[in-house]
Amino acid sequence: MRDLVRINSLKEAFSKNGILLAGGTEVLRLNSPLKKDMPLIDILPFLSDEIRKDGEKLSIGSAATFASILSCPYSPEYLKEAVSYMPSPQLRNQATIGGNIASWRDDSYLIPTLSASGAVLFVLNQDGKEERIPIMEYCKKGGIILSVSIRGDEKVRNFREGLTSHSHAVVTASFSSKSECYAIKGSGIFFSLEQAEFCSDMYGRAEYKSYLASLYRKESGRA
Amino acid sequence: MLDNKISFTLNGKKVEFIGDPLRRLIDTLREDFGLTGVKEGCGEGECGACSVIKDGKLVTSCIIPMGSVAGSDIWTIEGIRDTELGAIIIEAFADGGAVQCGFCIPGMVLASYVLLSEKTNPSELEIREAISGNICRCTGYDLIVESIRLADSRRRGV
Repeated sequence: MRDLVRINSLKEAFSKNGILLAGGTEVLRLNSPLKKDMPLIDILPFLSDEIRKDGEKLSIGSAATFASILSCPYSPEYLKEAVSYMPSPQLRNQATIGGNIASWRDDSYLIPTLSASGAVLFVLNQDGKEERIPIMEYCKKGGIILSVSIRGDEKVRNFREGLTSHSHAVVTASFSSKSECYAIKGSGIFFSLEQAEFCSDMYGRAEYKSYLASLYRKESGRA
Repeated sequence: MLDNKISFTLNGKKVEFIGDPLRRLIDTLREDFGLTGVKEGCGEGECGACSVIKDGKLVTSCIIPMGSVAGSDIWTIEGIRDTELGAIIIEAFADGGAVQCGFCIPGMVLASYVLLSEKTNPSELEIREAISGNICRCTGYDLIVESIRLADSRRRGV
């Protein structure tokens, strides 16, 4: 039988070789990172779901659900738009902002818009130290996301193409005056079009995905 | 500390689950507690057939591991049907011709229950948003939407 590990502090989570359980929408889906007999480490009791406004900045606890971000009066429109790309109210009630970033999916709902907005993550790293890192560094450094800091007044344009509203995205892209970010299905997350890679799969040909990404950049006015 | 004993409330009663914390909530409800009103459709959290109410929110039980159920308050169609509002919704679905094959209906009823618990006289758009995570392949949704309006009218006595 698999074990559910209850920890006394978040630092303890790093000493166990297991999968971290927060919102829980990723661990049971196709391509789950969970290996057989790997213990499950419940970190949700240690994570905040508070959304706090501090001037133009917004601090979002990593356990905040998509639904709570959508209903929060402080949430900027670009973030609400990206959150509502997740079409099912049931999923929005479960999925957390921290989980969506940490899973680093190639059809991520939130990473493109958060990256384009210049979001900064407050992370507990593997050494047990808390640090602030830009979201683009998270895939290299990892760690447990404690909160996400964004600017509410940033202008971000989001684009997304999926075969249906309930399908995983083929391409999700977001642009601000300072940066751009692409989630390309089958390839990964990229922080410039020049670095982006495209592959052909059941979601579409590489040329189709490349066309969409180029079109979005042009429409955003960054081309 | 390792813990495989998970306590939660199910349809108003305190229950205990002992087993794999990664077991899906839907499997526990159907196989351990015999609550077969919870249906499995896609198994990926997308179709809404397995919807249950967890701590007042509609969620899909096929992607919820038992490990995240500890201390939660879970309601299924079997518990909701005995409530006043639940009975009104179910009767309205029957009278309104909302049911064809019926597979999606437990999830639809629960989505309606959450909506009508939070809102009085919801607009058509609000109703359609509320059931947007529940996929129906038979009805085309119109009669379901009409039945939810009927349930709302009846519970308000208009």
